[in-house]
Formats: sequence, C-alpha cells, structure tokens
Amino acid sequence: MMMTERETKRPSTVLTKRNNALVSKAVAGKLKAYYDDIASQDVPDRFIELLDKLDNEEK
Amino acid sequence: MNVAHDVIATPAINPGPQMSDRDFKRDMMGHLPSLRAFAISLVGKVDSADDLVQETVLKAWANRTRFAAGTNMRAWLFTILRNEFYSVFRKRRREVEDADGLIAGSVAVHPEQHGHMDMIDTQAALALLPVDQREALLLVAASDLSYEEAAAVCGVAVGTIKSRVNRARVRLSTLLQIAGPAELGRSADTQDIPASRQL
Repeated sequence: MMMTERETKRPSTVLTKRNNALVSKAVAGKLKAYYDDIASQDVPDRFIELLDKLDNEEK
Repeated sequence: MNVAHDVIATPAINPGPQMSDRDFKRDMMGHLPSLRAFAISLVGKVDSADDLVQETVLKAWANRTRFAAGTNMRAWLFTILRNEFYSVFRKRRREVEDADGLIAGSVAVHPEQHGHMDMIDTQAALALLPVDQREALLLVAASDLSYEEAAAVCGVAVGTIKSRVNRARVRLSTLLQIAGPAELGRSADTQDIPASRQL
C-alpha cells in the first residue's frame, strides 16, 4: 500500500519533501548550536549573588 | 503539565506541595543557563536579556510558594520571563521594531553581499522573525520544550505553536539561505561559530 502511494507521487514531490526535511534539519542544527553555545556560558555572578541575598533575607 | 499561563497574576488556590527555600534556590540556579539562553536569543542583546533574567529571578523568588514541587520549573521560569518580556520590554516596542526595520532594510539594500548563508548570522536572522514565531521556535527547537509545554508557556493552543514553529523554520532557512543539499554540506562546518561573536 505504501509502495503504491510512493510510486504514484511525482519524483519532484518526493525530492522536495526530502529537501524540506534536510533544510529543516540544517536550520534546527544551526539554531541549536547557537543556543547551546549561549547556554554553556558561565552565568554572571550577579545572579548567584542575587539568589544568595534573597535567600539570606528570609532568614 | 501544570504550567498555568497566568501563574503570577492568579492567586494559587491549591499550590500543591512546596519546596524548601534551599531546594528552590538550588533548582533555580540549575535552570539559569537555559533561562539566560532563552532571554538572550529572544531579546537579541545580552545586557537587556540579563536585566530580564534578573527581573525573572526576583519575581520567581517572590512567588516561590506558588510553585508546586514536582512540576516543570524550567517551563514555569520561562513563563515568568516571557510575561516579563511582554509587560516591560515590549513597552519599548517602537524602539525594538525600529531596530528590526534597520536590520531588514540593510539586508534588502545589499542582497548581493549576502550570497553566502553565513553572511547573516543566526542572531540577526532570529531578530528578523516576528516575535511570536521567534519565541515558539526557541522554546521548541532550541530549548527542547514539548509543543504542549511551549503552548502552556505562551498561553496558546498547541496547533498555534506548531504552525508558528513551522513558519519560523521556513523563514529562518530563507534568512540563513539554506536552500538545499548543495548548501547543507557547508552548514555543518559553520555550526561552531561562537555566539559571542554574533552578539
């Protein structure tokens, strides 16, 4: 059944679909690399200090 | 998923089990890197993004008794940050849109200089996306939230998030000029460009 469906599709449609999937993957990869690079940076001390200060104020 | 969109605005009737301050603080510190990555990629400027993170930390701490232990703290923090972004930062909307317009204008004026996809870096390309598409893409494709979690963070239907992510992907691939297999081979060796250079 699936083979029949595939065979009836025009080659260009199949190629476009495959291309879209590759493009989607490439975009996701680029975005992820960019994002993970930021996420791997050290968090500025001011945030740690702020949390410590907030926590101490409660005591 | 128990992430109410109006987590701050509505008093919690049944906040559920609470965490100790120490546990809350420890968990929040663990989420700071991804919270910051979301802020920077959403806002586009490190200084403004860090102000936003600071506001989020303050707000989250003040509302910590409303956070139910065992639920998704990252999504909860993202929700607060996003609300903060819209209520405070978007007041400077004109400013932001003017900046977007300037970037868009320079791209339009010099298309011949952007023949290579690396010419527009990821940060600049993100800035050119409509903000609703940008946040959806960042939540799902970069922060690895599920469509359901992203929908809860943004307070919209799952289908809306899916369509925003799809549109953002198409737009971003155009902006990055990832046209097809011929370009794809090249994308692999550009992935390790440090974001610091782009910001």
